Parts: sequence; structure tokens; C-alpha cells
Amino acid sequence: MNDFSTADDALAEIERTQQRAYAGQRLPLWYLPGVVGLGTVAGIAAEVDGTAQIVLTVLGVVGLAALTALLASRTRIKFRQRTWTVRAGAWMAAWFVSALVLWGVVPLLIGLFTDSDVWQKAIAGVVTAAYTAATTRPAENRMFAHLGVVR
Amino acid sequence: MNLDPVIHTPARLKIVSLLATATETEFAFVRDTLDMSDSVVSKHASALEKAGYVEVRKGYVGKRPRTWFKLTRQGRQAFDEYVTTLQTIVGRPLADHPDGAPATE
Repeated sequence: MNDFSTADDALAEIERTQQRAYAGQRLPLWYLPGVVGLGTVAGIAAEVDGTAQIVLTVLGVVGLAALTALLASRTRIKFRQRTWTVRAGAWMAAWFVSALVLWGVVPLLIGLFTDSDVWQKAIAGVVTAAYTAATTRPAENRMFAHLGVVR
Repeated sequence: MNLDPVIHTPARLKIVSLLATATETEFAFVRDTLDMSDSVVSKHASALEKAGYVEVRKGYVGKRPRTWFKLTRQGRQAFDEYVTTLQTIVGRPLADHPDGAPATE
């Protein structure tokens, strides 16, 4: 071995480097709350009429497009599909589903206190945005722990 | 057992290991993730490119110039063989796969 003490060191370095790569491209904390917020705006648009509906719909759609374009411009590594393992994918899917479930359940709970669809959606949006902001990093850490080593 | 001398330096091994995870990686990401200077990344990327292991693409994101690296087929094969050789030396797989399956998926 010329530059590593042992073959074990070289293998360990490969594993370490790849874990650093995964950790280096994290989802911005503002992204999912932003998606939820703009999705909420579009949802509320469906509950109103006239100019307000047009404005909110345009805001929601344009905002989502801009958010996605911004995320794409920040992408510095395009991971291969094979970096994903079944467990990592399952953790990520479970996390997304949990956010969607929350987004769907909160309006039903708020509906016990108000008949206003706008309020139901608005509060659901705020709660879900806060949930995604608070859980993005723990979910990523859990997922990274299950990513495979890639050859 | 001969380890590929092109890959078998710490800096190049790190670069190739990182590139193996991706279809394409930006220069700045390689530099920042591996904590190397611009000149070190450039030097080793050039050596890897000369060996036919890495392809370099220059482009723009908006008005900002960007440089992207990707492992060539030859580079992936060389890395695969390098890892296989290491595994043979130590007598164990690369890592215990979290799903209990082999590390190569």
C-alpha cells in the first residue's frame, strides 16, 4: 500500500467520502415549507371567487415554479439512482406520507371548530409547513444512515 | 495484487469515490465536500481526465460558469476493480449493506 496504511483504511475512506457526499447536498430548509405554503395558497384559491381567486392561483403556480427552479439552480450533485436503498427510500416515503396525512387530517380537526374552508386550509398549511421544517433534517439523517455505498 | 496507481492516491481516491455516487458533480461541490483547494481539485481532476476516468463539462447556470465532473465508463470500471481488489485483500465486502444485501446493487 503506497498511500494508505492498509486496504481497510482505503475502504473506510471510500465509505466516509460517500457519506460526506450525501450530507453535502441537503434539501434547503425553506423548500418543503415553501411548497406547502404555496400549495395552501392554491388550495385557498379554490375557495374564493373573482379577482382573489385569479391572484391566488397565479401566485401559487408561479411561486411553485420559481421555488422548483431555485432548487434546481442550487443542485451541485446529481446522485445516481443506485445510491438509494430500499430502506432509505422507505424512510423518505414514510416522511412524505406523514406530512401529507397531517395536511389532510388537520382540516378535519379544525372543521370541528369552524365551517370556514379557508381557515381549515390555512391552518393546515401553517401546521404542515412547521412540521416539514422541523422534521427535514432528522428525516434526512435517518435516510442517509440507510444509503448504500456505491461502486 | 496491483492497485490502480491512477486512483490509488488519497486525493484521487476521494474524488473518484465521490463521483461514483453521482451521474454528475459540480467542481465546487467536490472542493467543498472533500475540503480541498481549487488547485488540488483541478490538478487531480486533470490527471483523472488524462487517464480517461473523468469527463469534464463546462456550462452555465444563469450567467455563472460551472464545471461538472462525471466518471466515464472506464473510470467506473477502474473504480469497481479497485474496490474489488481492496475487498480481496481484506477479505470482506465494502460495507455491511443496511438491507442485508450486497453493497453492489
